[in-house]
Amino acid sequence: MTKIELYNVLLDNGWTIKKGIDDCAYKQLPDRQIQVIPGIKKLPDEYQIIMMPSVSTKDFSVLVKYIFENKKPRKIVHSGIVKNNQQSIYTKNPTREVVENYLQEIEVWAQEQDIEAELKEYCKLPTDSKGNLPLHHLSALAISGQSTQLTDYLEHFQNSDSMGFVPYIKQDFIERALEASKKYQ
Amino acid sequence: MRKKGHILITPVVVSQAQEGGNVTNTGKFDDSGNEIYQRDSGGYYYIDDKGVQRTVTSPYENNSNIGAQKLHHDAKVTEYKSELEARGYTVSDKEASFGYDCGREGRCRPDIIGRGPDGKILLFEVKTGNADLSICQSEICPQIRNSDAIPRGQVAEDFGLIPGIPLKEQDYPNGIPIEVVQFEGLKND
Repeated sequence: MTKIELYNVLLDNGWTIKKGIDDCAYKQLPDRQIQVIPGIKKLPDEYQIIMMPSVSTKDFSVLVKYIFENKKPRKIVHSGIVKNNQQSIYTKNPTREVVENYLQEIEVWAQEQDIEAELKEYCKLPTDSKGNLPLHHLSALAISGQSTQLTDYLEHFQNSDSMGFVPYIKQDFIERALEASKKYQ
Repeated sequence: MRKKGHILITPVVVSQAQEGGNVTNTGKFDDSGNEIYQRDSGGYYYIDDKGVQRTVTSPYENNSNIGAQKLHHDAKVTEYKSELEARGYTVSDKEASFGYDCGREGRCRPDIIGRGPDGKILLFEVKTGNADLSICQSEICPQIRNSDAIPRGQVAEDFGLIPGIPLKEQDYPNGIPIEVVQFEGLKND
């Protein structure tokens, strides 16, 4: 099976593919969105079918992008809330059926995840988290309608206290998160 | 029958008037799944996401042992990932991309991105035989180590980094360490 054939299996099963630095595929379920980063690799004795699944919601993903870039994205965006530890399967015979069964397992896994509980964990993150965690923290606070905490953050920033947030988090990020939080109260 | 949205994989001859010659779709793919075309002149290439032709080696296996070398390298990467997981690391099944701090075209993808038991991110470059760092690797790896490099793509994001923002602004003021892991090459490498 080639990468193109793998992509065609995804398309046939209702996934949307977005080409980019890392090609991704998305499936929208009624209350959540799944992302996979598909690939197929030939190993000496078998094939590795890679998916790296993660689940999120469209609202959360759009909000992350909005807080980060100050614009509503036109294309599909995805900021994973829960990631599946099983990133790949290994098979000697990478058929369409094998891939379809794997995709089905991913959908079942995605449906089982407690997104609300994970968002609560993001809300609890310390302000000095690394990488994309502070952005997810602000987005989780916003989508949970926690304006009081965001107002407190904003007051600190206005007093030149960035509270240990990483340098890319600026005051306008907090302002956009606060603005968004009022819609979710 | 080709379904709507499907990607055509049947070999075809494509006129390439702008270059004054013909190209043939070989019907073969490189390891990343890119279709490989052959020029009248005999050279091979694929077309990247930006429509740029990228030269590749012949896709016909009996012309070289490059396919075997790649297979050997990938096997060693998989082997080393298993070893890291046994040591308590979380590793990504795909490579994360990093670009230049100046926004210049070009990226490098260290073979393995992992998070150690202490929560710190580490990168590993697996080398087999006499393979050396590529030009991009030799230029971007120092920037990853000194925190100037910029993560790119969804794999990096999935691993907790922000694409498009230099590492130093994501609280990696000392960059991310890259460990080069050396394995023996194939006998004819």
